[in-house]
Amino acid sequence: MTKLKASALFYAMLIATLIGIISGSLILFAYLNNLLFLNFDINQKLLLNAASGIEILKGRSMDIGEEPTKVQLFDQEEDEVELSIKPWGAFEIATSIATANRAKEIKVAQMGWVIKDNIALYLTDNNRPLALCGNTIIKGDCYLPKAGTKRAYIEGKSFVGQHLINGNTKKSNTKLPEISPEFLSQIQYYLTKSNNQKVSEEFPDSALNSFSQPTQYLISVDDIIIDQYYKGNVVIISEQDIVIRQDAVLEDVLIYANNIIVERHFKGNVQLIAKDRIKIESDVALQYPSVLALMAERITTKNTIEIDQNTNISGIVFLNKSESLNKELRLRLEKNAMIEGIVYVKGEVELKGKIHGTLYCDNFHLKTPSSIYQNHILDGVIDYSLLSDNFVGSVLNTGSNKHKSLVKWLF
Amino acid sequence: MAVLKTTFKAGTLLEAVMAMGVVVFCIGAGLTIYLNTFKAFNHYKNVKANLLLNDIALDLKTNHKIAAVLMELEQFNVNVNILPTKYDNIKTLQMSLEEKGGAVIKTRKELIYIEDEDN
Repeated sequence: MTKLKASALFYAMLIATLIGIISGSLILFAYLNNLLFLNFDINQKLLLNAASGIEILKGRSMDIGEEPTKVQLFDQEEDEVELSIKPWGAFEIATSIATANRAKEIKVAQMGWVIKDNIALYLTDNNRPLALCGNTIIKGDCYLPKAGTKRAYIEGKSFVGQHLINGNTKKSNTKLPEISPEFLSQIQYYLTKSNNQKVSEEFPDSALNSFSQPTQYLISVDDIIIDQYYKGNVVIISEQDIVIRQDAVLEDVLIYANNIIVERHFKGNVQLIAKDRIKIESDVALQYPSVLALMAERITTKNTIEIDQNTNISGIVFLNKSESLNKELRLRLEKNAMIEGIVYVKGEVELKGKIHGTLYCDNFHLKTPSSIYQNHILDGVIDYSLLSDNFVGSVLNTGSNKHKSLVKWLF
Repeated sequence: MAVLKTTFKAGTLLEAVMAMGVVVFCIGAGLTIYLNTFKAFNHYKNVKANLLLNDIALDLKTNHKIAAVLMELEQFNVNVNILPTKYDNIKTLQMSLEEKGGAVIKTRKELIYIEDEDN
């Protein structure tokens, strides 16, 4: 009698296991695929909601401060975002957080004021005419002294243009339009806040901090030499001087010191706020949105911002002093140096380079090998028409023709 | 009396039940996969609609052409609406992508800041 082995159960189990594994993995794949699409949908919605929050902050139709405030986006719908806004030098940082269940999207943007007024020059009326010579170009509307403008002949050069001013002229006041106190306190905000912060025991080689995190302070009582990588929500403060080497990589950071020197060939995007002096050496490129701010509180040998040859600065340059300070501040812009943006000087300007944008100043200073002239410009350029339409930033947040706009998205 | 000398291989009841179980499991798994694939196809359509609406919204905002309009594309219609909100200078940009037959595939809503016209 032949005995046959009946192992059908074993085979059935084996095949069932195999089919189970294959089917299981296919089901898992389909489930994860489904989940991925659902997450994509939720993230898209959250991104739109977060971006909508930033739009509300542009409109500024409500009081939003540093503390996150919940705001409903659409009527009769549950979508809401948490909005907050904090100062960041001459600009502001707007944060919008949209959440749903465990998903979260954060949008952080740098914002500033936009004032489209077509003003190329605002020169305080100090009873002296503005004298132009050489290849000087002033293009855009101008606020000038009652004495007007005239041609001058200096260093063997007479004025070569057809028109002294290429634009409309209006009479200026004896004082510059004032920078709003809110803007000045905004600039000093982190310096005031740093009083509660500890001095860094060891100054770190580099720092990278997201704007969705608390601000990182790097404070030193001594001089600081910056030659490493610092990016994002970082404030560097020295109670003495700061030197920025050409190898340094700086992006979006705020720097406070008494004196700040930026060495040759440096490239970056930074806001420099000094009490006594800022010196930008030749061949430096400070990319938009950079800021040079001199907030003079005491008389020193040099209350100046000096910008050397072949240097380009895109953003805001301003020199301001307290009312009690009885000394003229000075901005010196060398040949082939260029500022694109807004320049505000409570003092005098030595203009040999170019300003593509707006200049507010009390008077001009011209020093030649043979003499010194007041309210004279030799071979200087102020051209509002060359300022980019997309430029955002102002020191004057007054006037009806103003609104907030986005400077850049931050991480 | 004849004596059966040949032994036939046969399954037990338990084996039959197991085999039926395998078949049921296979059908179940197959159906689930089929339904998920069908759903995924809808998801793809949804993603495509999302990306298309994003592109159109970006174009409208970049070129400052924010106005209510019905765009007739090759396969779809895009309905753009501008609705008021409780915030000053803020409008709701509502867009929906519809099939030619009229069925709505995807709706998109966002707030946009609109400068005063005199600015």
